[in-house]
Amino acid sequence: MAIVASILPIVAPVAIVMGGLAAPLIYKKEKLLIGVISTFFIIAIAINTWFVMNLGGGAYAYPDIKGVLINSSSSFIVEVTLILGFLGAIYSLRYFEDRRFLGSFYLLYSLFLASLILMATSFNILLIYVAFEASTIAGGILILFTRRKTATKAAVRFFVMSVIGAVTILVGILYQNSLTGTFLLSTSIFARVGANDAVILASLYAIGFGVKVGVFPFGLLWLPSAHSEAPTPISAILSGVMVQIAAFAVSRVIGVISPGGTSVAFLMIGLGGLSVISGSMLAAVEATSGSKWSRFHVASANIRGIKRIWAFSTASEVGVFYLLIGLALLSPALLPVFFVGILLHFLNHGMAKALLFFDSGVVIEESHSADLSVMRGLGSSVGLNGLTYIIGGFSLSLVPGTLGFTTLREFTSGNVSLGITAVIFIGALFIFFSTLYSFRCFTFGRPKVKVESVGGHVGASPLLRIPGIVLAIGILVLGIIITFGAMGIAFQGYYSGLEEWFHTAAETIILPFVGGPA
Amino acid sequence: MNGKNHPARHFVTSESLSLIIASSLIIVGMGGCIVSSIMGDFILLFAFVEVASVAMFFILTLSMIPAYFPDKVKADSIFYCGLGKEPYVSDEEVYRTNVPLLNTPYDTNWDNYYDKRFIKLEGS
Repeated sequence: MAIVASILPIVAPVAIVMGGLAAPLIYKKEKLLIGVISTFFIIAIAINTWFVMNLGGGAYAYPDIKGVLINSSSSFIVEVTLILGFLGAIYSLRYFEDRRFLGSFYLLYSLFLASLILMATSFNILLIYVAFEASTIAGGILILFTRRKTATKAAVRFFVMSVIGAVTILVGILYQNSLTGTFLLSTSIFARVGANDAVILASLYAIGFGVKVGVFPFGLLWLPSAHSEAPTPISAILSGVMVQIAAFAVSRVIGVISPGGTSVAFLMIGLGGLSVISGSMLAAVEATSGSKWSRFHVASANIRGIKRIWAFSTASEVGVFYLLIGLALLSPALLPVFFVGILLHFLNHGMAKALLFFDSGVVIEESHSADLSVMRGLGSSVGLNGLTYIIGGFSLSLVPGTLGFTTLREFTSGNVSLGITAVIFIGALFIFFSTLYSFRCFTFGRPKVKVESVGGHVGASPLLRIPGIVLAIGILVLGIIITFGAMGIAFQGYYSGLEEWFHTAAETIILPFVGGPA
Repeated sequence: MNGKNHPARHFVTSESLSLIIASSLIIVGMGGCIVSSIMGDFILLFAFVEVASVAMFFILTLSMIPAYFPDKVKADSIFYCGLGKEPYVSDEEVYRTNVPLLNTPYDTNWDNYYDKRFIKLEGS
């Protein structure tokens, strides 16, 4: 029994990889392929759901605390990753026209997800680093599956920037080892480290991981191009999962180090605030004027790329994580409160951004264009996905009734200064505008140049529409429960249960377990 | 085919120099890995692993760069009227740059961010 319990933490990544390994052998038989991939995803989700519901303050580790460790916060991150990964796998089945590469795609996709899961389930900085590198290799190659020259350029940018980030983290790891003699992230070990050393170490990690997270200014160099040029299901995972898991890793590492003073806190708040403002503004510029003004494009042609809008939005949303970590460092007593915000923002941004990319993909497939200037209004043929697109955009714009209400509540509480609240509101307003403007363009808009249809019309596969609809339902159901529960209108029982769970989970971001191991 | 008609050949181009440096780093990294593992110094071993992996990343990147700055040669100009010159191959074999790793041609239908099989713009 003890052996079974000890291997439980690695079941999810192993199951995902096993599904991926089977893919190259069976990719020609579509039904078998989706059956096998789904089975492994369902096994991983079922076991992880058990963790989410039963771990409480406990944890399971393989082989010990220095290896893979799953606690409440990690299980929550893994749950979101698995669900979005599963939806991405379903979406991918009909996304690629050239099906020769479906086997190798699923293999790399599973390795990418497994490395991201490992990154979220460890308190060993060395293991986090190895997973970081593995996700860079798998993610970079997945970008190439678009098979366009611009995607190659975007992948090179992604690789180069990730290596720069990785080398900075490596310097931090070596420095940590020279200070503490261990790679383990433990609050009791770091309590003995000098204040100046802790500040230097935390800054190295904040900047190194910041490159991967995509905060200002590093994110602008690679994020808009990589996230928009990648195949759509990969864009959804890059934006909805990868950058967020990197941000989760930052919150764990910086939270454990807990550098005293205000310098690191102000660094985080500064980078976060600049990211929120610059990313959201550039998203609005992309929607209205195009890449000529928003810049950071890999092609010379001026486009108003629908996926580029949401890539810039990601560069904005990652700033929220840095703001929350900075605020937690400024008021250590409120750290659990702000870390609850990190988990809730992970959920909101993950679901909403994956939805927006999935739906953008549907629009691109329907209109045969990724450029809003060339798109002819789809009208009713956009279907239910027009509505789900709006729901996703509203959730990122912090509209009550959607999951965005959780972030709104965090930043309008008395714990946050008015300036930071203003930054969040400005960011939300730009995203709100970008959502409605882009929706108008692809639904009712007219192309800026004369466009002639040739070769008939091939619409988007119904399978591409399902992930967006599933995510929109999730955003609305959870959003309504949380909004009504917080206001005391209804669902108070569910709401208080959720609140209690998130508070326990937030503590396990920096502690392997609260109380005793499971 | 005498050497006089050929442009001067540079044996050490910037690409080959980069490749030599990166290959040397891989050798240094791997040699360092062996030495440090015998010495039992884990930190040094880790540093050498990173030196080797960064060099490998660099080579990977180097192999990608030619893919988006492809050499364009009109095959007809090579073979026209028997004025053929090296290489005596078709563009299928040499000059068409493939997407790295997948080893397939680029999808050029979406070069302008719309599918030219379905959409035609005025003036294009």
